Amino acid sequence: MSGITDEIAQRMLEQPFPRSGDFAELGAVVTTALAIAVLVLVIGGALLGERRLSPTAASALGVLGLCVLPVFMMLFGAYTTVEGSKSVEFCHSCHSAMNLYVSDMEDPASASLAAVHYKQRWITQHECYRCHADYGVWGSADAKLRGFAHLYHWLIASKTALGEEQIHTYRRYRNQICLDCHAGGADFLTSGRGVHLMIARNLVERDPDTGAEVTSCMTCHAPAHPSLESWRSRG
Amino acid sequence: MAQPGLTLAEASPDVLRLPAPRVRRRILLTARVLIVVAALITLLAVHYLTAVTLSLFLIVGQGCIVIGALLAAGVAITDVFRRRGVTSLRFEPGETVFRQGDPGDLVYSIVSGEVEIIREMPDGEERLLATMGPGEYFGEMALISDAARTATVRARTSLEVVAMGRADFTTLYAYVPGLKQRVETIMRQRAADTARKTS
Repeated sequence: MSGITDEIAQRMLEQPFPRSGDFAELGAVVTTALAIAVLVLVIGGALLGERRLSPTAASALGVLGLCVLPVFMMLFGAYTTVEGSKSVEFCHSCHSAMNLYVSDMEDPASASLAAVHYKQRWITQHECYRCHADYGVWGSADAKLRGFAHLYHWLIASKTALGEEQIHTYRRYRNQICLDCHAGGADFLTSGRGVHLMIARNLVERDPDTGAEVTSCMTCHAPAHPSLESWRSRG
Repeated sequence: MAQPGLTLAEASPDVLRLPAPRVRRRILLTARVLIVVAALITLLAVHYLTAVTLSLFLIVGQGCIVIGALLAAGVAITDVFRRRGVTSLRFEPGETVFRQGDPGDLVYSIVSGEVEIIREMPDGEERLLATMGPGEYFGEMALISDAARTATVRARTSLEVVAMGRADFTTLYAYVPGLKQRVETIMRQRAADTARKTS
């Protein structure tokens, strides 16, 4: 009765459901409204001129259009853009450097860890950010600060930013990020005859020299992404 | 036309010296340009987010907003000072103090230099109504009648004036004995002169 045929329903299930209504989307709407209000007030005020307004009204409009609204626009804009910068599309916009990683992740034939996670939709949004930002408030802040370093690389067109040099993680990848999703999961606990529980201490205990866990998840589950060399050899 | 009794500078030598109106206009224009640029960059970054637009927004856009807002706040604060109490202003020769049709917010007393009072006729012609020098005051008419400026005042030479805001002037006007009569007498004289010169 709803007009949905088997074909339409199958097509709907073959693609991720579109997400909508999160705070970043609201932030974009509010920032846009503020920016338009600022433009109208500033340009309108300049065209109208102070001559047609009383001095008090001109001052009030000036303060609103040049001080108050722009500050809110800056805050909402910062929130919206920083939230937006978690998206895969944003990471991919640094095209030369990220093309290899995003293209491989989206390749259904790839067996890399990132591609498997993407293919299975184990992570439903912000796939790059989810695995490359530590958890908690400091993890997020740390990732954003590192993001500024990435912008710097991009601005100076460094070899890594241009995709001419292999990118490395700043430090050994932490198991904590993997365990945040997998720990407690039925498959994780039982797969490989319970191997994860057998080496549990190594997966959790940190090596005082490296600061990372004794045995990395990547020891068995690599590669997370193809190397630059293997990607080039793939053509 | 000299009004020595009304020379505000003599009564208040420690007046607050504010930037000349042309400087205020330039600062306000700079603030407007910066904020417009910032708003356009923000729209671009929010709707087309890439490494380029994000860095543009975070570095240029936010910088424009901070500088523009500070400049505008500075103008707003000096405007408050300008309208309250007595302030000192300087004008270059040929610079306009106010234009016919502007809203009246200040009354001026000349400390040094000369001004010319000009009536802009409907056909665009400018007629010189009077010139004024040190000790004389102008701009009171728009404040008392709560109307727009009826003439343009332009500096003939390097000019220093002290200006008083509407609230302070109307308070003095209402309470200082004899001031109302003196101002009204001068206003009548000026109105008669203006009618003669513009007819």
